[in-house]
Amino acid sequence: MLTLNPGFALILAAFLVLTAPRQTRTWIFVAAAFAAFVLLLGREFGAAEAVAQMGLPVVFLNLDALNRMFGIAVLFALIGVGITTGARRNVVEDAAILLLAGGTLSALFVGDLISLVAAAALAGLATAWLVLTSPLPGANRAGARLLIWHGLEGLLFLVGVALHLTEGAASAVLGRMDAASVSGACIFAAIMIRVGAPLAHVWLKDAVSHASPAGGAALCAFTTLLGVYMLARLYPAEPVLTPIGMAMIALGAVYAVADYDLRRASAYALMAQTGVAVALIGIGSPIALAAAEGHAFAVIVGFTALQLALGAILHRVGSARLTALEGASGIAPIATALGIAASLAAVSTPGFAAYATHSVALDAVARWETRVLWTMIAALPGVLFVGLTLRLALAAYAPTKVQPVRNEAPFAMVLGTSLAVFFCTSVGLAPQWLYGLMPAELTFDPFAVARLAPQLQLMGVAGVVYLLLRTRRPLPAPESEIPDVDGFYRGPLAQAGQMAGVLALGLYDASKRAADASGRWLSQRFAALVALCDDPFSRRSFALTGLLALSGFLGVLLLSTSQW
Amino acid sequence: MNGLMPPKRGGAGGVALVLCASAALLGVGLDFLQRHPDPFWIGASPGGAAAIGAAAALFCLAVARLAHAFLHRKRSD
Repeated sequence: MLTLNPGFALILAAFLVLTAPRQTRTWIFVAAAFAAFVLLLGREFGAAEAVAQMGLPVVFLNLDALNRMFGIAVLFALIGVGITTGARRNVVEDAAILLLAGGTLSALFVGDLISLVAAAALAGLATAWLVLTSPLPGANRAGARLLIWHGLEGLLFLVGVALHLTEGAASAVLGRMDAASVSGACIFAAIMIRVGAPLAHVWLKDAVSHASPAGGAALCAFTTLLGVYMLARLYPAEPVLTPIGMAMIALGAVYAVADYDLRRASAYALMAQTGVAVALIGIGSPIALAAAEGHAFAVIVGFTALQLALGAILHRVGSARLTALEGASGIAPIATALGIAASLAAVSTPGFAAYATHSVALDAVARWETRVLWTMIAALPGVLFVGLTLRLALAAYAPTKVQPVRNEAPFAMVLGTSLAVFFCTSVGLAPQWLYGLMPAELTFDPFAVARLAPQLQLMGVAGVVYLLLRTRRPLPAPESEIPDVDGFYRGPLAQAGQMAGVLALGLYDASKRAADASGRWLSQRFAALVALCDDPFSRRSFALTGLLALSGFLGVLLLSTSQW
Repeated sequence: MNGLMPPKRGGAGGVALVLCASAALLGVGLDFLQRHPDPFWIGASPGGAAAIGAAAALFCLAVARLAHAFLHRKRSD
């Protein structure tokens, strides 16, 4: 059997798709995903033979239960996204999606730190490329901002790995790292950017809201998942991850409810659900780690479906803002229905994959010491149900004065979204398959009444209270945006940078003028002195010239004698 | 005029309310009917999930109101 990293099949397909005719591109996506499946599932667990490069071991393939699970999630999502790409012509974006998926998948299956960082950097570059290829307004600036984030991440990775490798060649092999060491802290900080931790979380919603419909789904599927994998691989049971995860849940929940753009709200909701996985990795018990990995899997598939559905609505309606969605069910009824189903999948509704892992997560933290985290995880589906599902349903099915003209989303988009929703439903209805993939052996029944009843009452009561107490207010202008951390660096920080630049230019200008003036003065003095010396027998200069000549002669004489 | 209007009639609100109320009733009923081991804290006791759900909805309403107030002020600027 081949010992090729499954990600390489997708990277090869990225180059192939650039030259392929349009009709074959979707097939290339699907064929590449199946080839990667074969490489992934047709091999026993274990590391392939290492290659030595500059004295360091390079392991291109190391298969185990952890990366196999994440790999399957990537390939599921890729099939859905790949089918959707058939709805439009953008060969460069197709290549960027495949390169992003290939970089992510390669990073999952390599067995050494250098290859991991290289593959993660490739995925990061492909992420920025994906945003830059989007036809939506503002995509270029968003892509440039994303490039800066990934540049910062790459720099931290580089410094961390360089310092880590000073411990010897054996340290290049992937293993648990210490976040308290300098090298470990640098790598940890880089992963925090990738996973979308607070303060570094804005890149995801910025990129997703500016990416194309297929691009937004690819970004949700292939970016933060790699961060969660790296945390599970390198920093399991790291205590600081629990508060970071809780902050992600809180921040993501607030913005998911507050934001009027549902694609951005969905990116924030993904941040909140990723926060659950991060907090569980911090807990570090076998069941918590299994829940984290399973939840990352389920959430990625769920949010890919949601982004695909919102992308299909965006394709027809022109915007994913609540103001624009009124009457969307009349324009694209199938895409809207799929959007509601996908949002239910993303918020951990019983019957979908995320519920199966959400129940495990609740059991993993059901202790007095972690009651705050338990409550946050328990409340999250209620908040997201209101923020995503109810708001979408109420806006899309709102009665309109004018009967909208039906213009359903393209077939490829509907098919890709349906497939992603089908994945979520099938895994949700038969979760033992997912539990079987987990690294820890898990016997769990999510549909036990003790687990199902609280989830039903929580979501039901949240919906009833919201529907009864809500008031209809005029929605804000389309250009309105809820401020976030990026509002600081795109606003006051950018202004401060501009002011600092103006000040530095002023200082440079003043110093240049001062240097010019002093140079002119010195040259005038020197010229006067030279003119004085040029006329040694005049009355004015005779005494001075003689004195200077005598001093110079004595100086030369003294210097020459000192050598003896 | 404070900008508040009653919710529009029609749409998905009624259907959503019926579905949510059914889920809530079913969940609360099943939760109280089954035998519970000692809950590890009050949030995990019977009916606790309903309280958390209500709190989640109130949180959503509060956040939405704050966001709306902020954006509305920004718009009038």
